[in-house]
Amino acid sequence: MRRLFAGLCALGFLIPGAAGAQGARPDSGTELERLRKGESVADLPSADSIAAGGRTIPAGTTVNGTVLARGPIVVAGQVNGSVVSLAGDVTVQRGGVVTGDALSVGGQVIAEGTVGGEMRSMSSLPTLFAASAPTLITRTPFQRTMESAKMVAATFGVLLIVAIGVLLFAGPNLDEVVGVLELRFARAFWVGLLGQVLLLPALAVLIVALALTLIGVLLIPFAIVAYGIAVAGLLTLGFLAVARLVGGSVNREGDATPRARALTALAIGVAVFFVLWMVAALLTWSPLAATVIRAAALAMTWVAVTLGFGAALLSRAGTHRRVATGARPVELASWQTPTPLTGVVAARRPKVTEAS
Amino acid sequence: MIRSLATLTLGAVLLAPATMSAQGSPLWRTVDISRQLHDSLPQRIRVQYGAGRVDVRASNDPLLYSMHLRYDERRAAPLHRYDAAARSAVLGLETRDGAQRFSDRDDSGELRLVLPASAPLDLDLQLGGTESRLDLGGLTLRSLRLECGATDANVMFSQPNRTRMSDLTIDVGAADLLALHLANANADQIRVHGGAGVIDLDFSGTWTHDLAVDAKLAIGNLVLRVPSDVGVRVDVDRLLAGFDHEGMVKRDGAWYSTNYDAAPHKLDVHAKTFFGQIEVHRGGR
Repeated sequence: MRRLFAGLCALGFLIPGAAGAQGARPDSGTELERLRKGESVADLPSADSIAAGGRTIPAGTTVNGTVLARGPIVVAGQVNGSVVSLAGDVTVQRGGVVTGDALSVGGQVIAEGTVGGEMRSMSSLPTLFAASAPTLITRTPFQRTMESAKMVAATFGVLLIVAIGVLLFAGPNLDEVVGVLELRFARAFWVGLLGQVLLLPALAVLIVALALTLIGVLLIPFAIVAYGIAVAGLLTLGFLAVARLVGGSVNREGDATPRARALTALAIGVAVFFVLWMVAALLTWSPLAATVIRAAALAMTWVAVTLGFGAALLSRAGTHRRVATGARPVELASWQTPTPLTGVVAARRPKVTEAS
Repeated sequence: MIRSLATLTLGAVLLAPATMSAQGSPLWRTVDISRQLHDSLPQRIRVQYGAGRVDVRASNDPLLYSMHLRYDERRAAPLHRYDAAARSAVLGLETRDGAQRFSDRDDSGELRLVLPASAPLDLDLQLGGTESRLDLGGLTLRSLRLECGATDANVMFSQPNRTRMSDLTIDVGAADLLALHLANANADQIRVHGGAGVIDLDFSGTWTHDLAVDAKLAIGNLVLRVPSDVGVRVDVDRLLAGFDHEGMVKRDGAWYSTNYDAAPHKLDVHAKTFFGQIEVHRGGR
């Protein structure tokens, strides 16, 4: 009994699904709407005047307006308009004339006579997805170019906002990564390259290590997400550091506050990296030129990201202050002078660490 | 009880496709669109197609075009506009506003286009990420412009073009392009510009006059296959690219085949590449 009940339940679920899959016959009004909007068939008759079966236009007769039927349509005479069969073939016999389009849903259009418009055979009427018909777009090269330019401009804007956020909330870390870049440029590149190569193996090792412990298995999804966020953060921090370094070298002068100088340098640096992308976007109308410039922009960005990633790794995301400052053999001379040049009193002499 | 659960599960499994269909899985539709050809005056046909398989060929049927489309209704709509006054048709598929441009399911989309052999055509093909098989042999092409994005394109002139083609231009982005029997194109000049990939140009076919080719490839391999009875002159402009010039001699800054002066037909190539390799093979594929 229970089995019978369960079977009936399953059948109850199945029937609507199967009906939906096969497509229940829509009402005539809907069909006319789909014809009008989806197939651009004009001058349609009212829903209640659709012929239930087939229809024949005999030779020597003329019909003005659209001929619409649920069965096969044979045209031996003349139709000054379109011919639509909602379930069958449309046959235009030799000598028959259709001045408009000939459409067949679920059948074929066979034209031995003349069809002035298009002949269309379709598996089903087009679906109307929204209350308002979807806007169909044909993009001209100019529109494609403008779209690409807008995309690059939007990305630039987002990166600039991120840059301001980093400057406000992680300024010291950024300073540290910039410091590492200034002092250990080549090493930063190679470390960045190695880091990129080892990204996936490191993740695999992490997953395996977690899998070895029973409790750790549950943490694997979180670990993957955290790993991804950490890597994205390092890449962004590194890229922004490179951008700031580049921007700082472009814009050296100015007596603004350090934070304002840093912000200006960051904005200029990011803009420098986006110039090539924007040029490529503006050349979208010329695929060859766009591809070449885009390749150059990609290469430049990759070098910057690699450098920055390496510097971020070396400075442990800017938290390892000694990496940069420890290698600076400057300012030490000031307190070694018998008469302090900068007014540093002996009691406040900085301690010389091993790293220096 | 277990059997009941199994039955219910079976019901749910069978129901799932119907539910998925309602939630946004592809909604495939096929449509065949054609238009009768009423005269033999020149026509201009532009084809736009984003992603999927493309097949173009010639036919002797009295149709201006016959297009078979299989597409996902949720993402695209057929494009078929004809301007009788301008004698111009735009065919293909256009993306719906807001629909995702490319996805895995695009692979199942298809465009099969048949064009008339008898009508003089100016043909403009704009293909995106497609797998294209274009046999343009036997058509009456006055001009041809083929623009491909990330495409695996196979262009062939299996039969001679019925009229002299003023211009044949192929622009490819990141694509592998194989063009076969280009001599059958009956073109005055051929321009092939590529971003990255392999461009393989085969100049076999029926030679009726000399041919000038301008081939530019940013990154990749440019392969020129020339019949042994055709004289070939290659003017190479390269930056970080190799040039395989076996069997050719350098003269006046260009490379000449040994039979160049005596050959009944001549192929003049200006090849430019930044990074990659230029190869000239004699004897075709």
